[in-house]
Amino acid sequence: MDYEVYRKVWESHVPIEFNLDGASENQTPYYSMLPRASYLCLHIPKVLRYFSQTSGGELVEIDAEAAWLEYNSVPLKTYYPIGVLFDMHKPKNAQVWTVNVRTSPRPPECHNVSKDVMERMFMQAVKEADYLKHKGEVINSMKAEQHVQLWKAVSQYNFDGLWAVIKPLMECSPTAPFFHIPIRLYVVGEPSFRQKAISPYDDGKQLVFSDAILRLAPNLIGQNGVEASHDFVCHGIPVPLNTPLVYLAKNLSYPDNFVHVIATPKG
Amino acid sequence: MSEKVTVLLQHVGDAPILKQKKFSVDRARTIAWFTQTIRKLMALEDNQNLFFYISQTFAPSPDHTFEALKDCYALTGGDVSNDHLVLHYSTTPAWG
Repeated sequence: MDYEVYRKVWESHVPIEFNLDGASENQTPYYSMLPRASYLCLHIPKVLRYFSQTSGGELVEIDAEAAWLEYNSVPLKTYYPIGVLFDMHKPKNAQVWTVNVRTSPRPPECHNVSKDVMERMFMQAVKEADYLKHKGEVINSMKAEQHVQLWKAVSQYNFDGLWAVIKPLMECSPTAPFFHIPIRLYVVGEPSFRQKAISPYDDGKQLVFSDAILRLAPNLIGQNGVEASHDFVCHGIPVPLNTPLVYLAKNLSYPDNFVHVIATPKG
Repeated sequence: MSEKVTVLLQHVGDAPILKQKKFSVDRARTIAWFTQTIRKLMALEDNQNLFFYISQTFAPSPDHTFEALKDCYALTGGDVSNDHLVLHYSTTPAWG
């Protein structure tokens, strides 16, 4: 892992505007810069507190369990990393991403993600990623306190806490190479992400980002990526097609140990 | 190429035992859909949980499609047509 690169990626924030659905015209939006590596469900209580305190003099309590988020009439999956949602949904010509906070009955497919549920989902993703990279051996060799520390570092946004425990999960060596690269591709407009068992090497040759995209979305990239119809972005960064997959996994993984890549149509 | 994924269910702990253990699932379906379907089959109450696990190791994301799960985690039965995905299910968290 490259400390400088990983730290820079971790420190990246995105601007989000929250609007309360059904609020009076005088209600000002809640503006915030949120870390890409964090989760919306961790920040909703603060957003709701703001709306409770500013709603035209009378104090309105908003139940955190009843509130849900929506963009463009689509309920948001608040258990995806903020950076993933931002890269998927922010219009290309806008600086800020605008999210609606709704308190009307939530759609059946939009479950409430509490902090505890989020912790469980996060840890399961880490386990899946380690299963792909190391057959689950690293996560299983970690102590229960280290699992707790991993989530604590993410939920409290503490880089040093994260760095102290995440390194063994993110590393590989010539004697213990990654078996597969945990990479998920989100094609804008598709309901689910794409994922395949992608090895970092083929016949001793190091595979690169375009090899992974060719496996995941051959129709979007064309021959050698020259005719690619989409941009492929991770943490808001267009990923060079010749980036080695091992480098991506080591340095551009989100804290859940997956490399989340968003494909948006060019232009 | 087969449009369906063969899924074998194995119960863990006190989870209800289903008569049908083998399912043929459309590749585009997700774990979220499958969870709802099996919950109905088991007639689980709203306050009961249902968890699925792969390789007795981790619970896949609700958005995982069976196409992705098959590609990453299916066991081969000799040739591609015998590929199947083993899912353990439990009503309590089983592997962390």
